[in-house]
Amino acid sequence: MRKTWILLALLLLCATLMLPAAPKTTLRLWSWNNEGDYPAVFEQIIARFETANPNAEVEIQWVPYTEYNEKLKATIAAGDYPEIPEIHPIHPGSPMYSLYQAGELLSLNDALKTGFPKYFPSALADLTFEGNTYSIPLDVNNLTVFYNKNIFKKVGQKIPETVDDLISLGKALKAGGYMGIAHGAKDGWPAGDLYFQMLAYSDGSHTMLRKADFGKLTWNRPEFIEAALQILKMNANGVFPPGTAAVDYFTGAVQLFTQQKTAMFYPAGSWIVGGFDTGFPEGVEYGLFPFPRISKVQDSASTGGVATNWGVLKKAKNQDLVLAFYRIAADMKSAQILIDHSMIPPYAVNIQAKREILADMIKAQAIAQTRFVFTPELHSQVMSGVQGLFTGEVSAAQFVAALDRVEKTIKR
Amino acid sequence: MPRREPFSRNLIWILIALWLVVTLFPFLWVLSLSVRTPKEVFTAILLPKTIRLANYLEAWSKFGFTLLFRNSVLVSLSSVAVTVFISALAGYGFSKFRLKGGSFLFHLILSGVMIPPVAVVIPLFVFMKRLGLFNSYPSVIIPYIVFGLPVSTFIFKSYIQNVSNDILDAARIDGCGELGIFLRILLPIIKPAVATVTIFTFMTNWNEFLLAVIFLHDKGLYTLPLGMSVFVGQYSAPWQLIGAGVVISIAPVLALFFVLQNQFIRGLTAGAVRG
Amino acid sequence: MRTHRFAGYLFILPALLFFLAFLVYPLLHTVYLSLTEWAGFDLKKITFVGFDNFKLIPPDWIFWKAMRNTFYFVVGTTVFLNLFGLGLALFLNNSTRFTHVVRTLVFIPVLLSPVIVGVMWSRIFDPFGVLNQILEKLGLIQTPIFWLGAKNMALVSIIGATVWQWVGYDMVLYLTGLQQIPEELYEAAMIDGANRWQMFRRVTVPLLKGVATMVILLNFIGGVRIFDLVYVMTKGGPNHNTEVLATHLYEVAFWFNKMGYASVISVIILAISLVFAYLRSRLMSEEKA
Repeated sequence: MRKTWILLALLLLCATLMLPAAPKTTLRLWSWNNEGDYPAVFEQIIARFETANPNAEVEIQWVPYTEYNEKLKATIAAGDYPEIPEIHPIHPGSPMYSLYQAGELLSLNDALKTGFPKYFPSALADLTFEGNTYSIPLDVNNLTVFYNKNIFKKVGQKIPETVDDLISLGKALKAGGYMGIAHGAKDGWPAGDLYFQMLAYSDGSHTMLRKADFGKLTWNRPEFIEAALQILKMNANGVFPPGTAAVDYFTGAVQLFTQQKTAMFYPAGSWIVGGFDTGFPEGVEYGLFPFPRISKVQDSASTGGVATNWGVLKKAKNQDLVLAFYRIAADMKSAQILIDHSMIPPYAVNIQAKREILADMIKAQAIAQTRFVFTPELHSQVMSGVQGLFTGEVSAAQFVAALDRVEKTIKR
Repeated sequence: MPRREPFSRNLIWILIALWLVVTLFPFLWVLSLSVRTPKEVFTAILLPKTIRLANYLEAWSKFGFTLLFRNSVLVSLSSVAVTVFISALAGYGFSKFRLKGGSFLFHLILSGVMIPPVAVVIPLFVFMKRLGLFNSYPSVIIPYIVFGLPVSTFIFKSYIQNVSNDILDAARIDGCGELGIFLRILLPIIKPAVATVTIFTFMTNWNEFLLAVIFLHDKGLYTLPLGMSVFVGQYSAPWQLIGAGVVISIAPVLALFFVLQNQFIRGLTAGAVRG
Repeated sequence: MRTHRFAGYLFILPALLFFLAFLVYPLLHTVYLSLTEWAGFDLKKITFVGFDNFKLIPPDWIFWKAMRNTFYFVVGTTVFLNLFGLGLALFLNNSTRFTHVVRTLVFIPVLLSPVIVGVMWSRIFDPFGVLNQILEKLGLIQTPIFWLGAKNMALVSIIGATVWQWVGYDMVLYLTGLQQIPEELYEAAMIDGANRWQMFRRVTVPLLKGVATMVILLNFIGGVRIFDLVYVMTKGGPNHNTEVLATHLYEVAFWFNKMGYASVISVIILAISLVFAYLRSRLMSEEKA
């Protein structure tokens, strides 16, 4: 009899010992971002999550960007739901719009109420469609003007606050043998960003771009025209080096700035800091400021948007754990991890970045406005149109007229 | 010897010298760019004060040339091998056998030279997706084989036509099978045609860009032209490194060319010979 | 003899199968796809829409700009390639060691990938690049020329880089043509007292006509498909000033995800190519006759 008891006790002991070895819950993280510092950031956040939830583990699955949409859709069609999928913002032109239409995405409005930080409005706006937020941002970026402090000191100029300041600064720089803002309109996308920046000032409501992007507003409006006029004005008054439409961004504009031919550079963000660090001769210091305003009464605004974001599939399992993962990815310790890797959290933080330039960049995020046109035809036309403003063959009125013409060719 | 050119000697020399300057200057400039220090990138025109060979090492790792060369060699060699083999077979079939509809089929294949790849990229895109080959080596190797076929078949057919039937018949009497004749008798005879076709298709595929940019998306699959276009356009690329990258890209081609000049000129202009 | 013939079919079979599967079928498929709508993602969502896509052509002003630019490109490159190619061939049509070296050097750019040529010339054409530096040093210009960033100059610059690359090709073809002209004809002309210009007009020009037609058509065909150099140097910009048919197709297909409409552009490129193919075969048969 005693033997039986001992045996039973031993069995029980074994069973309790075996319990922790029970299979862990695996969450699959799908991402296309296996470049730069992202893998390191993901791993550190996952390690923190696994420490907090010993019964769960996260497995990263890298999927090439170009195959991502199809793979995700195919997996979902096969009845399998990756728990932590990186997703594209939802809007009618999005490659993931069909997922939204099929009702596969969970609205995160309720989840966001507890345990998440207060996100910058512009970051959430990018991820919200018709009142529902479908994904959570991990990091964001913003575009500002970088300037060469040494040159500014040499010509005795301070940071310009308005476009008019910028124009007189351009003249002072010219007198000192320098040029204004290296820009790189030949590559298209910088030209687009310049326009979005001016629009962030000409449209104080910050809502018109998104509406026009979705075909709910025509482009022939004073705000859209004004932004183009400002570019024309700056270019006519020598703010940009001559022939900016002939300068490429990475090979032209970056060189002009690091060779100290121009005193400023736009659009600049965290991705270009490395290039400047290696490109500048020793002893050159550079800082940033938001693009000067059209008029003094306005608040400064930079442009920016979400870099990485992830969602929840309605039919995915273990949604509570997934949300726990997202909450950990959005807490202050994770913010520290982001900042250590020169990334910007999408909410205000009280963390000191090691470098001043990054600290300033993080500050500029708070005033960031959306910088994107999702409809590819319209985005392409914005870029071409600004190039036309630079080459002098397009007027502000023609600039918006072309956008309206493009809009007519798009099926909504 | 009578003089054929309608211009005077002096004028000719001046014009030739001028054209030589135009032809060679970009090369010399890029070479000079490739060894400059960052400081001299904009200032020097041709002769930099200091020579910095470290740029080459830096460019090699920045553009990932090891991988680019490996991919280009792999894609070009495998497509060339298949093209040469099946177009030689076809050339033999078309020239030494009396086939019903042979002339029609030959001209059908030959008409392929008129089809610009850009006209079929979208159906090929659909095709590759359907076969699950999109974003893989075969997605470019297969089109490279096909676009090489028309000219190659033409060259082999013309060449094999001139091979005497006696040799082939003798082998046939000796009991050699048709494939044996092709492999053991014919292939050694048509080596010059093989060389021409190899150079023509290899250079075309080595330099190809349109299909590569559409079908290859993983950095690990990039061919040399694709890698150069993407990396120069997307990362901050100092000019001296671009210069070194260009020199590295063209050096092997130039080296081969100087060894095999005549074969190269014959091979590369082979595409123009269409009947 | 029967097995003999059967073997013959086996020999052409691999080439034929490849050709039918990967060229003829895609070609027919392009025509079909031009009648459909497809966003490029889900293969099940290719829907038939009839001629709707063709109706998009008239209002697509970028297409017409691309058409115009392609035309200018084809004409510009063909004219200068033949002018310089023939000129060089005439100058270098003797077999001294020097001319041989020059021919070889002029031919080198033909070997290069257009991408590398584009990367190289983009730096040369940079507003702060070497070309402007030299022109300024020589006193030919006061302010820099924006080679790739100005309305008409951008296309001209790309034509220039193309001519630089391919002139050696045309030169070699013309040299082949020149070498086929029998020596006796020049000797006879000499005896008749013809001067150099007359010999050129009466002997060289008429006998080069065949080669010239072939070269011109070849340049036309090459020009219609131009993609690489434009894509690398300007991506069709600034403001579509260097947009050509192939770059427009690329953007419509792979950025705008309008595969059906892009197929319409494919069909148009194909049609233009086939017109040239027809012309060429006509000229070839005329020559034979």
